[in-house]
Amino acid sequence: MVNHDRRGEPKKGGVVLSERTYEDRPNLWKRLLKQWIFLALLVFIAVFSVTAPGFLTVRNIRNIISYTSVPLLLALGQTFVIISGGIDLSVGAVLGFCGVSSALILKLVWDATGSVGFSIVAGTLSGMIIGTTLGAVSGTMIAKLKVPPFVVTLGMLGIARGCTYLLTSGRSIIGLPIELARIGNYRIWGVIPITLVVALLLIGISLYLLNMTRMGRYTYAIGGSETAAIRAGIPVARYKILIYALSGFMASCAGLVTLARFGTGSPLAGVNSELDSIAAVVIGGASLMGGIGTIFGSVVGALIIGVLLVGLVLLNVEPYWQMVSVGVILIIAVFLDQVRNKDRVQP
Amino acid sequence: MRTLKMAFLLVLLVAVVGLVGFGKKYTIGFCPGIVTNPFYIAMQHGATQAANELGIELIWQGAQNWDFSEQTVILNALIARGVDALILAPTDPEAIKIPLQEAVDAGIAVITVDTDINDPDAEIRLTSIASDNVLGGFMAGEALAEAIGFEGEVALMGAMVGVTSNELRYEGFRAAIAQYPDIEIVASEYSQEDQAKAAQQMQSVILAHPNLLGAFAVDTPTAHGCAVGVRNAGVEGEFVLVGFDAQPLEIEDLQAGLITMLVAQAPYAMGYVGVQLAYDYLQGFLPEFPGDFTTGFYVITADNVNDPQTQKWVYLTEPPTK
Repeated sequence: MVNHDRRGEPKKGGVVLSERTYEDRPNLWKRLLKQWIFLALLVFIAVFSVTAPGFLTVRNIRNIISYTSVPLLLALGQTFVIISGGIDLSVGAVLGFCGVSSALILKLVWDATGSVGFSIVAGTLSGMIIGTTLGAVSGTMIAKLKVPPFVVTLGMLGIARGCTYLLTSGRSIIGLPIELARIGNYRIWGVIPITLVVALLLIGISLYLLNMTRMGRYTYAIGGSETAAIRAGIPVARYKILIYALSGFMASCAGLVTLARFGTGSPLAGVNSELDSIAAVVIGGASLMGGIGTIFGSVVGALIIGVLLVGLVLLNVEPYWQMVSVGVILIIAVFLDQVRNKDRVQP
Repeated sequence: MRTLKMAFLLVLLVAVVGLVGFGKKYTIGFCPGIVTNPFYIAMQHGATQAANELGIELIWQGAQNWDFSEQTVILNALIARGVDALILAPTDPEAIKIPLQEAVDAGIAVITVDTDINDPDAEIRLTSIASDNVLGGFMAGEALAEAIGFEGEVALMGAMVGVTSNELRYEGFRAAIAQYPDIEIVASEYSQEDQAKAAQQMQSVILAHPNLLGAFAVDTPTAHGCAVGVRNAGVEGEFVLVGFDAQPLEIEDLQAGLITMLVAQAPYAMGYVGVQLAYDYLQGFLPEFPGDFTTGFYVITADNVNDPQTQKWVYLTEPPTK
């Protein structure tokens, strides 16, 4: 808290911060509670904590975090894409492709050098490079060749998933060093899963990129009105490529997290998870028309999907209701945002 | 008097503890590969039947997609709920091992059904109850070979690449056909479990290979799709289509003459035996398992499809009421 004197003058610093502004600025909690979806998450957690046996245990919280981390990482990249007015349907397939290709490279390097540490570093880096490259390729086709994002990324979905099956003949890649699974399932002080650390790190990077950099501002600008962005002199094509490359990078990280957690490169990893990532972003308040969305919202959206799934399993609710519930929340989320944004000036 | 009172209370206490102990209800978590498939719904019927007979609480929870990370989160939730035993149809024989090890570490007995994990020394799971899928594919191959007179062109209509049970059936089918040098597999297609895709693929394969005599469709959506493809291609009655599994719509196709024969698995038995064995283990009856269990097959043709015996092998589409 800044130390004020009676007249509202701060004792240090040049900027005058009046007493009134300080009082009026809502604190973090008030701002969070304004986000109805965050409230919904809290309500779900509260209800499940009381009703679902085993929900509020360390093991289960870890379970929710570990599961949510993958759609969450995909949703981080997807947030940028959706805010820019695009969509990335390829994230699940890129996840799968990066997972198996880094598993293969890891194994090759391990066989060649015999060094576990070096092979894991090589596998991780090459996975990230492959994912980012695939994303950049999609982005280039969207930005330079003007093919709609839906089509390009749907094509990339097929290409990446098909290549994954070709690379593996459909079988999981096994015989990876045991240290890989040890890292993937490592818990700091025996409690905090490594996946949480990775997720927090990438959330931090995303928050920084979206809110504090030129890239973030341009992402909103492109999604708000691409024509206006071009007229304002924003290099739209370059930033679009960058946005899809970022989405590819996040997908590769999700692939690496999956690879390390399960200790095997499965060609089935990430099937259908693009839908979860889109649902998380939309539940989090982003508009598929572009220009609107936050990292915080997407994180909450992903958590809602994870919490609902686990809570309903623990309550032994018939599994079909899980699909129904996520579907209902998705539509309510979009509907409420429509109502909220009704008064907004249309671009 | 006081001693008598104490003795009485003691007896009461023992009785209560004994009753509670006797009435202890085991909770068994059962996690199928995917909840929407009649194969697993038939398995759910078997498991529910056994659970009702034995007075066990059965928690039937599975993923909505064929996805090992979704299955893992459900598996972990069942561990967190504190089930006594876990029965699981693994979606990936490797990836699911680490989460299953967690269950074992938490003191939960693990049994696999339908598909096994890669665990030859049974260090993780107690036992596995499944069809011998190589044998099933082999039986289908043999039946197809016989029906076409041991020579000519056939097609392999697969579903998924990478799903163990499917892969094993391909393997068995190819091994059976390899016995006959005059039979050639001229096409292999993968429907991704999509009926419409299978129909289109079957039709294209028949068009591309005018001498094609028959095909093996590896699972339900593929078999049903291929049946539609056979009808569209106008070769019904002369084309030999061997399907796998026995879902109601496949039976209809068989009765309509589109499918020649079906190799049916026994999901009901897998569910029933799974729960029974888990119970036996929890009761201490089966400290050592003799080995893995295979549940066998039943071949359904136009000749036996209306037998009451055959009807018992048809899979179910409605989940049991609790």
